[in-house]
Amino acid sequence: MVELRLPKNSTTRPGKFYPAPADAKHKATFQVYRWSPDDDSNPSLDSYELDLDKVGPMVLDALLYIKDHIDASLTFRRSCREGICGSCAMNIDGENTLACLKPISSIKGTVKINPLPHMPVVKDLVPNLNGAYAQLESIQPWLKSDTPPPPDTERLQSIEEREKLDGMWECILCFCCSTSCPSYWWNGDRYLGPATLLAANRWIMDSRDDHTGERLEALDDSMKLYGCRTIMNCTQTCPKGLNPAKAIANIKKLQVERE
Amino acid sequence: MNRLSDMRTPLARAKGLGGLADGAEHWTAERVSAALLGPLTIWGVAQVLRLAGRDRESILAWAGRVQNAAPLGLLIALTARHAQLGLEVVASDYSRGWRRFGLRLVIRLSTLLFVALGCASLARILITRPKEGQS
Repeated sequence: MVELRLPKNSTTRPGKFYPAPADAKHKATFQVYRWSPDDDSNPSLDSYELDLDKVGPMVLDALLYIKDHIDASLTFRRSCREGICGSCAMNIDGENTLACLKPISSIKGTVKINPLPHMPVVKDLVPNLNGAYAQLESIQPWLKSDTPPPPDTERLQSIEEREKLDGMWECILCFCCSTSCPSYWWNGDRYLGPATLLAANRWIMDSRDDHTGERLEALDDSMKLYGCRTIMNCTQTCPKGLNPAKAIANIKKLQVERE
Repeated sequence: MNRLSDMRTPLARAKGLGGLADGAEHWTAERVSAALLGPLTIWGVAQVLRLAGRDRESILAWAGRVQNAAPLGLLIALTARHAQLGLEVVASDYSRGWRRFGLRLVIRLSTLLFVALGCASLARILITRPKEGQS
């Protein structure tokens, strides 16, 4: 439900400042959200001044530099460092994106790094995404067919049918879109959110799946699907350049068609 | 229920009480009523501007003609329906559970009252309208 203020234990306080070495020529400050369940205090915004000549080009490189050389307790998720695993999704410079795909040079002034908005924080930049994963599971994102597959070949689809899945199969489930959506912030327990609805549309549009009707029926709900208020933050923020808003519009269109 | 006393699995929580099967109809009605209200509202505002300053009798005579009363009735009914649908969306965003149910009931009853008042007034004008030629 709508919350206009942060809960008392979520308001941030100024944190520590770690200056760059005196001989640094190209400096940039990284302001990072820090919170640990082990401390009994509110989250803090720690500032790390780095020598950019020693750091790789991406924001993830800066975080790795901080963890390796300044503060080993800094916690964040990362894996592939090339935008395919979706682990390092976070809010950088006010926008949800992947730290590994965000060049430091694209940000003017202090680089502000926060966890994905409006999710429970596990520690520092690690959000708890259990609810979002469960919502994804609830739409059953796998091929459902009552027809057994041909014994000697895979399930076939035409080139045109396969093309309908383009722009959806590329989703890496980083949840940048869902956590950028005000409707998801406020009603994230009932509205499925853009990431899950994009996945739903991917299976609705799959010609090999014969549960299209059941899938649409399950989504025909004033909040699950229609919690989308076409705010479009999802499409604007997607680090993979996908269009979840268009996928949601397609589901809404199909709902009218089956009325 | 607070987080600590809720031992359901995340999947059980995500599924909740299930779908309402009300979304598509609501969404379509909201858009169709909006599309119809566009030209109707322009017509309504134009008529108000045109009739502004006229005396009571001539306005009653205008409203008493079927070609005016019919779109006027439609304007009243569609405005109420569109307001009801829109306010229900607001209720969904800002409330939940029984509170949402109660709010939706209040919204539906008050917009229904709006329609009843509008239609009753229109019916009275139609029944007691001044004779043609007086306007």
